[in-house]
Amino acid sequence: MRQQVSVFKRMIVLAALMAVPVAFGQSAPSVTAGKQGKKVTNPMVAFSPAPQSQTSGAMATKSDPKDPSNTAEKKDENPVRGKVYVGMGHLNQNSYKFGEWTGITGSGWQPLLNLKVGQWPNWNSNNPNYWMVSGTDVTLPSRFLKAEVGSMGNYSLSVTERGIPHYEYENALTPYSLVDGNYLQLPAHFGGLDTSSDSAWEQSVNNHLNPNLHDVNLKTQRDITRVQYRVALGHDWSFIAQFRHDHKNGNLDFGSVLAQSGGNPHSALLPIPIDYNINQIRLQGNYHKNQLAMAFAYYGSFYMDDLHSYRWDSAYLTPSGWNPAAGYENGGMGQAATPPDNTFNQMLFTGSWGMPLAHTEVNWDAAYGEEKQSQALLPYTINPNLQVTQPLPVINPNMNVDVSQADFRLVSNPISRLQILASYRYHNHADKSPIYSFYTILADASNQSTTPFYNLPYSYIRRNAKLKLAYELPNRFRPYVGFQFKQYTRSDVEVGETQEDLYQAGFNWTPIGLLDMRLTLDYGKRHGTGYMNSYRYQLENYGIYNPAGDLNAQDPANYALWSNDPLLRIYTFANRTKKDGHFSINIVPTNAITVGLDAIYQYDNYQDSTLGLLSEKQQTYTVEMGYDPTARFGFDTYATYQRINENQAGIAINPGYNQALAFDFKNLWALSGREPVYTAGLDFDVKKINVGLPRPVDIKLNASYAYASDTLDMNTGSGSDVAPAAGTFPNITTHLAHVGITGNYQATDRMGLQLGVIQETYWSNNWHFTGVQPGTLGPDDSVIQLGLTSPNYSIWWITFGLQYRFGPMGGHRAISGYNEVP
Amino acid sequence: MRMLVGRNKTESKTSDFKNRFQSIAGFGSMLKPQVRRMVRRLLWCTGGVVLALNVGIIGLSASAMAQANSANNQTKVGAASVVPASSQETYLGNDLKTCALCHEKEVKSFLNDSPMAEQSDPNTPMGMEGSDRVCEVCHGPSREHAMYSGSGKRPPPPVVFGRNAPTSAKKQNEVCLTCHTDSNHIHWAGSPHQFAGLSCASCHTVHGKDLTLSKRTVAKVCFACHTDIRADAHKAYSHPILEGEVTCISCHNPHGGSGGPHQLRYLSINETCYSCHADKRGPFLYEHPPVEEKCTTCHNPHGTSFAFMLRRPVPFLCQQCHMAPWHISQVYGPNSLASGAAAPQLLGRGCLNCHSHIHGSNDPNGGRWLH
Repeated sequence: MRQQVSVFKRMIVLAALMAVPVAFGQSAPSVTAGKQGKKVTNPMVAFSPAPQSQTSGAMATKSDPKDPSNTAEKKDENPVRGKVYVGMGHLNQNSYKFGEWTGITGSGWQPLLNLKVGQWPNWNSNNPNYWMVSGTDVTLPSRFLKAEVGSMGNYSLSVTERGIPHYEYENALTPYSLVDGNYLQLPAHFGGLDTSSDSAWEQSVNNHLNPNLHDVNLKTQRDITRVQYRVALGHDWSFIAQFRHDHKNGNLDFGSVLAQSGGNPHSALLPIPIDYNINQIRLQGNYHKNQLAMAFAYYGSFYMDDLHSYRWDSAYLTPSGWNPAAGYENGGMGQAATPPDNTFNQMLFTGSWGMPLAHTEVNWDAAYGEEKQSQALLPYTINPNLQVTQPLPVINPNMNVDVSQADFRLVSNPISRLQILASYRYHNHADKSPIYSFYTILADASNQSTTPFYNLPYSYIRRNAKLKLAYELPNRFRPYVGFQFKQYTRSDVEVGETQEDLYQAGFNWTPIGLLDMRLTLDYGKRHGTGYMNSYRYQLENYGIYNPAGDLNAQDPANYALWSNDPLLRIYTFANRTKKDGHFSINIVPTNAITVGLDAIYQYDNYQDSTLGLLSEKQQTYTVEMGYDPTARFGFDTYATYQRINENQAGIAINPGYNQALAFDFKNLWALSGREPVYTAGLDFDVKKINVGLPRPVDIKLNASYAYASDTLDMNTGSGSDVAPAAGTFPNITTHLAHVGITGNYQATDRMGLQLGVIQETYWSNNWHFTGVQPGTLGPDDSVIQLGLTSPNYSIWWITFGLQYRFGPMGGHRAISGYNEVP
Repeated sequence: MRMLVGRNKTESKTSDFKNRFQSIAGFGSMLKPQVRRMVRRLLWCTGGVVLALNVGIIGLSASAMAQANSANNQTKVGAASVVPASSQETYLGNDLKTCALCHEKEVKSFLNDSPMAEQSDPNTPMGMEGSDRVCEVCHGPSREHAMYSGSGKRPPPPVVFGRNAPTSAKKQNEVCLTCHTDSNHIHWAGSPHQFAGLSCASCHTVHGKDLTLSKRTVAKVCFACHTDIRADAHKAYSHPILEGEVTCISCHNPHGGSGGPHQLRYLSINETCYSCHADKRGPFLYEHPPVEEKCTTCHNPHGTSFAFMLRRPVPFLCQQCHMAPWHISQVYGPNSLASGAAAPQLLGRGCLNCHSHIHGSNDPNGGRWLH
């Protein structure tokens, strides 16, 4: 209901805006002719442009539009025109996955409406004023509505309203119900889950959890309203003001820990509520004269969460080993914070200058911004049985980050065939937030810690310098070489600085009219300063880094000073060799045929790492073909094979904090992943087919196929902890087959009948979810699940409708300045 | 209280970048010293040439600017064509009909479909002040092309657009960029697409429906070259790119971006993501460093086979960086799936079953992102 009211309000806004041009006696707006989305779940299957013959404007009669005698097409009043599509669609079964992003999820009938109406000029009109209202998917949660008024070349004012639904999972199972907006409550008679033994767990799941489960659908809806005003201020200046308001609400699955005893968590996946707003403002002044262009801008982002926390009932009886002082015998409540309200204010200065000699141009960005948040902190606990001896060090934390960025690029053609590119980029993320001492209460069920834990800000500086040279040889063969240097400086992490040298080479070869061949090769080496294991962990826990803790981990006095295995190299810091390549060739043997081959190779090798990510490789090979022998017939098709490989390793350290175990390769495990992905598609157009009707029929067919299957092989050492784990995981597989056919029959010049049929089959299997019921995980490490399943469906989505055009025919084009995207 | 914990490596390790780049000797540490010296000299020489050229350019710019202004006034808005001609006789002039004799389809589609045909808009080729040359505004003086009566091959107009056209991409783009000077195109020079030799007409269609102008079709244009991204977009978890709800240009500006990486609309990857996901911006009380650096450390925004567009499945993605004692370094193998006693780190949301506030926490107990 709330959503309907929201939509209603927005329709009123749009209607009000529509009234503006009417009140001012304006005439007419824009239009992009309806375009057919390739995919699948696009409900606008029936909204295709009219045949070319119906849109012929002045040139249909071959009149000379520049001939003053041709006055019939020149008018100062732009006529009202537009087109409306009204139809119905039918889905044969429920499926959240099919309608994940459109909202077409329920079986049954669904009304469809698209429209474009307004007043806008013909190409040869003298009246630059226009207004327009357009909408696609108007009756669906994925609606797009836009109202715009303006004068071409002078100003435009537009309001856009769009929805982005995300239907994640249907029929999830939970014992929790949402009350008071942010409280997830168990039924009053819920008896609690007993974690004292396997049999007790099983019994309590059967007696208390399963009988209290009910369905909950996990979905969110994002509604975006955008207002934009553009105006030309004289010949050289222009101004843009944008305001965007996002409102997102719904729910999503979120893990919530309550109690942790001896490392054994007691958690539940909860359907937590989402309700937040984002306001964004951009004010930009542009200047352009001769070869100088500049833009000065302010950008502001303001995030506001309507829910600053959420609470939930404990589903557990007191776990074994739990500190009795924590209470929660047969009950209790947990609380966690949601993301804090935040603001970001940024000033930007952007420009380019074309120098008059040697064909040299520079362009640049300079930006300074500040991220801030000072959300009031929650109390350490809402468990009344726990004593809080150390108060919070601060109520409002006053976190702030300065973000400074600059880019400078110089492009020069000192001689006509040579291009030199030099660029430099700087990005400083300086976290200036204060550091506090917190005496934490872990998961609302432990006594307050007696040693402080420090919140540690994180800062970094990125620098990137690049030099590239390209030279054009005869026959449009253009080789190039390049070099990039990247430096990354980070605060308070394992590696303070990494540097990367990247060498580049390649060529473009585009001999006239026959083929287009391209090759790029990159080779990079990254290395860093010394690796200080567990650096950040120690600072957070002890406020100081002690290398001895890393070296003498077996010493009980230091044994807690290290966290990660000393052999681990975090891959974002680790030494790396990078090899990338991309080769493509497009051959055009005749005007009607195009054949393309494309190969992409990306390989990152962390050659000095023993544990962690060791290597990742991705290869993508594509073959494409297009055939357009006549204006009435054509098709495009492609097939892609992609393969992703990754290797990583670890050592199981159990029981913990024993350095001897950290180097014990009997407990080594190595995981190799490989994922082949097959994707193929076909677009097939046939126009003006004579089927015995008074007028011909246009038919479009599109088909796509995608298959991905991820395989994980686990290999282990001989250690008793790890050896049983060896083997191959079931594949994580998805399979999508889609066929869509659209027929368009233009019954009269103004009226068209459209029929669309989509058949789509989706099948997936994911061991993260398969067979996992709400009570599956317990009793030692207990997590109440949501009973999610891998989606499968096979649907028919059939649409039919009528499209009617009114006003003058022709000119159903985009108007300058109007763009449906982004 | 601003507490000093450990040494501040950001401050202590930034000083040598300038020297590092200027001396640039270290870039090829794997090369022999002689080769390194040679490369270094080559780079120095190249840099010197560029610098000298531009010092000279700047010095002479004042007078040259005046000349350039004069030239621009002749070739930009207010003139009849953006393509200079040697003499007025080479133009056909106001003669759309003559062009349509052979190019009827192109002329019709231009007038019916292209926003550049608006005569009432003073910024379009048809509407610019004093425009009387119609097609020749962009294609250049074409009298010779139109009136050719010889027996050989008809000479093309001075500028022909298209990926495989006889006119170079650079020359094609110069024509387009004469008018398209707004802030979206400020970083075109030196951008990846420009350096790759693409022309505006590689992606845009003037004579016909321009697929880049519709959110339902723009991805098709990008996928023609970015074939790996098309494969990603078809995977089980992706942004709604194929549905047109999030388009390629929602995040990227193919005309050179903001100047930041990957031709993004914003100056960094995270700023781009925050434009919709501002709840992840923080700054949080407890930061998770990779989140602050790049969202793409863990996510592939174009699509993956794993929930939340994670690059790899949990818990293994987390174990690429976390290898602490107890459950963090534990092996999680397929055997436990079959036995029905799999660890919670493996099922459901994996590590995120408990460490759910992984983007950062503002809870005083949230140091391990549990709350």
